[in-house]
Amino acid sequence: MVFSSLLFLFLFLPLNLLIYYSVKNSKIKNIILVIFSLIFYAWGEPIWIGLLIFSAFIDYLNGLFINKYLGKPIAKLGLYSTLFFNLGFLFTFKYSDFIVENFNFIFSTNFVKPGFLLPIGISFYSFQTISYTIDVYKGEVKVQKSFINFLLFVSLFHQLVAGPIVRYSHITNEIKNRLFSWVDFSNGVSRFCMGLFKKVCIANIAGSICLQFLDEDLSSLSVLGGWYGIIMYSLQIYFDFSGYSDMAIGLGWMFGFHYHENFNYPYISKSITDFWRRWHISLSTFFRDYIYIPLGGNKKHFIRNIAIVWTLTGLWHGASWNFIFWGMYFGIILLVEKLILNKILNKTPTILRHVYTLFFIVIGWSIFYFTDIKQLLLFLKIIFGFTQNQLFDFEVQNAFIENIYWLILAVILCCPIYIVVQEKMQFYFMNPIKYSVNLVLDITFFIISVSLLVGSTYNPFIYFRF
Amino acid sequence: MKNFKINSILFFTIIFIGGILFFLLPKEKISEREKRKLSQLPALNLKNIFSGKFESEFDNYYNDNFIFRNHFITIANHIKENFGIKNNEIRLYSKPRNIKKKIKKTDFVLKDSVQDSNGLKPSEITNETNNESNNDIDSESNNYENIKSVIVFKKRAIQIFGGSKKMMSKFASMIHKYKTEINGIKNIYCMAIPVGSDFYLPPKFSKTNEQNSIRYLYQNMDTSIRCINAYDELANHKSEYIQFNTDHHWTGRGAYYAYQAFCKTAGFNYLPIEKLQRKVIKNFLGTLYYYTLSESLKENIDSVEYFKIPNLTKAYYFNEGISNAKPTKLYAEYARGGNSYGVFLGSDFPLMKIVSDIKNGRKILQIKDSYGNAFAPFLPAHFEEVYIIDYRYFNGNIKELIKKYGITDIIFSHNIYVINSSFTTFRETKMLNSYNQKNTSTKTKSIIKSNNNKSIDKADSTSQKK
Repeated sequence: MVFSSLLFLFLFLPLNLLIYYSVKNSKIKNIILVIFSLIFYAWGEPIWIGLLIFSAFIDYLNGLFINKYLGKPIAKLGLYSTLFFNLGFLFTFKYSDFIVENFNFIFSTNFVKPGFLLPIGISFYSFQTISYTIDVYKGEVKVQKSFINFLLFVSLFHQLVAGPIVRYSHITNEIKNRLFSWVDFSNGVSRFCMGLFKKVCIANIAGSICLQFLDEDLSSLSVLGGWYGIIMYSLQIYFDFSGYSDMAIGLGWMFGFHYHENFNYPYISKSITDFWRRWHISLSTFFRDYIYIPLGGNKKHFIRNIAIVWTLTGLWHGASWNFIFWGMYFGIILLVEKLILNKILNKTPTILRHVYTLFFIVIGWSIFYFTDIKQLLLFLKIIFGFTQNQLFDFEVQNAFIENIYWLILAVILCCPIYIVVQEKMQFYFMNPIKYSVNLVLDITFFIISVSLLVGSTYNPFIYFRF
Repeated sequence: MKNFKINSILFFTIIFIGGILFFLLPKEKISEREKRKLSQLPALNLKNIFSGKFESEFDNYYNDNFIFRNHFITIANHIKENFGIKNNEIRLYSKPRNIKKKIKKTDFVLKDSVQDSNGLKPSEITNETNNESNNDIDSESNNYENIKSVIVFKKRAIQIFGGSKKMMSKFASMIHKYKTEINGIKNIYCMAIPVGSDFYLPPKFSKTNEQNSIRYLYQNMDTSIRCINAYDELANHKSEYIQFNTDHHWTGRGAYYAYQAFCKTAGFNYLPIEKLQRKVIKNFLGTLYYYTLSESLKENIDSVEYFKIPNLTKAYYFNEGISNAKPTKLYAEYARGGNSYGVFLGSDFPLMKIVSDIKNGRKILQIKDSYGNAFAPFLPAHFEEVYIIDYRYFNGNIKELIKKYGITDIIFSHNIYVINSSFTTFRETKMLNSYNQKNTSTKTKSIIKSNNNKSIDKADSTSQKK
């Protein structure tokens, strides 16, 4: 199931809230959340629910094992076992096709690709459980003795499918005891509506415009059409992902969980280093804390560490070479910034720094978009004018003008204007005015999103039998 | 204190009441606007649940029957209308359909946006008369929906034509196959029908020229094939009402001018239009209106004009095979509303037979798509018997048919889109050597089904290449 579906909004969520808040006992509350989470997960691909529970169970046992022998060398076994199983599952289900494909290519062999369907959310939940076991080993968190509670941490539907990657230490206390507060709930509703709006009204629209330009044969793509298309993709990917994170955080608040922020207006970054502090924060901090720093960080083998972390970051996003190139592309830029560019950037006017950053982000997204390297190279040639393709055509002019207000709104939402206005309101207005403004915004966002969701089910057939 | 509770309470009330209303409100079975069956409640059993079939069908069911769906669709349309500045003279509608973008193994975002735009499968089409042809209809809807975009220009909807030389050479050689493989046929005619983008769009908006394409096709044709120059005849009358404003078909008047062109090639004296009985069905909003939902088209509503020949005719249809004729009518004069084009021949039967009061020993076989429906009723004015095959549904053997009924002439009457689809050549080549319907009908179906899927893929890629 996904948040941006009618079934979730009008059946799953109200039922979940109703049942959850009709019981008082916090243990039963947790069981209810686990059951709903499993239904949520199973709705898409019921077969993988076994893997999820099995994987959670192993990590639960490893946690207990490590806790028992804490401080003794044997405790390391629990750690190895967690890494073995989680990375093993990840490799089997996510990367086996890719590995076999490349092996066949290099050694001209003919092994059959296993062809597993990717279990939803596996990249997210394996990282969550890995971080748990490592933290238990380091003694940074207390072990979770109840399997239900541990399963709740792993399977909680708010963040199971698309993150943020929640660390156990962030919600340790909330798993046991959550305090209900109307302020939280109300903020949660606002945040959720905002996220839904970002996903349905910006990301989905940007996605359909992007397809108009980038999904056809590139030979007829105009230069500006190419830029417009890839900018639409940049908008789509940001609003899709951050919209999801907003909804997850909002849902968390409704149920009394407080997750960390995952995005901090990445498109207003002043450098690529800055961008990666603002983009998918839960992933970059995971790599920082569990790979980069243990490898030696800035102090030892600095360049090697950067190379490893960014290759892995790329690979995490998908089992395909273009994702690896995408990761390495950012690794290289970060290195260059750190060694040379930062000094120059500091003296550069802000506006130029934004242009520089956005340019490399957008080029990055084209590497991300085209899984076929040949297509990617052709695309880059086109947008930089190395082909005979037209500079401009009716289609791009039309798409630009027809969506100009929407585009302005999307750009505004990339900037922290909303937050600034909220703070100003807090300062200048009485609470009743502030709340009524928010109320109107929430309901407007929600109704518009639902309308567009229903609208997307409109599926007329040109042909029919009389 | 109360103020901030309001948004929470309102939010919960909306989703809760929405959820209840879904189960209380009556459900519709068919969407008039979309020309398709709405999804029904799937069967609940363990097998369906574990395979995920129940879940995905329940999603479709929920979306298709969502409360106040039509109202929401209207609202969504209004919202989209206001995304930017609309060009009132010309609007481009591109709906990326059937997008099966290869998703590499990344579970990180965008998965559901792809699902959103996929919407429902084309198999859920209103199809009351003959359930067996479902698979074929898929491909037909694909033929039309491959059309990348529809332009609304001066209150008229026009499909943008794109064709390829490769496809037309294929079609030409398919016709030559008919010539060499079928003995005893006096004349083979070929009529390529333009769909109006040459006539009604300024050249800068259309990508390929219809006239050049038809010329190319005819140049590839052996001199023994008699090509009918319907294009010029229609072009001479383009200021008349020869093409619908809101539908993808031509009008009865358009078909009449093509009939004139046919008579000139075939050496008949055509019936002057004054001698025909003119009838009109008013208030016809066609397929392209429902595709675009453009308000300006509503101001230019169509009427279906048809001209009846003075001859006495008897019409029969065959649901399966080439025997077992059942009576029907040449004109389904009861056709109304969105189905008004159905007045021509009533339906797309696999095979029809018209017996005329003319006694000249000539019997013609017309192989057609839905454009041919408007043309067919003129043929009994010059032929003793007319056999009409719809290339999408006929599963019999054409050689047998010709032998059995002593057919003397063949005419291929297709619009230029259908000529440019590999599915057409695939089907029509198959009909030459088709298997005996009765013995292998079930087998045939499954073979056709699997082949169809392949040919759809091909059609997809070729239409995108153009």
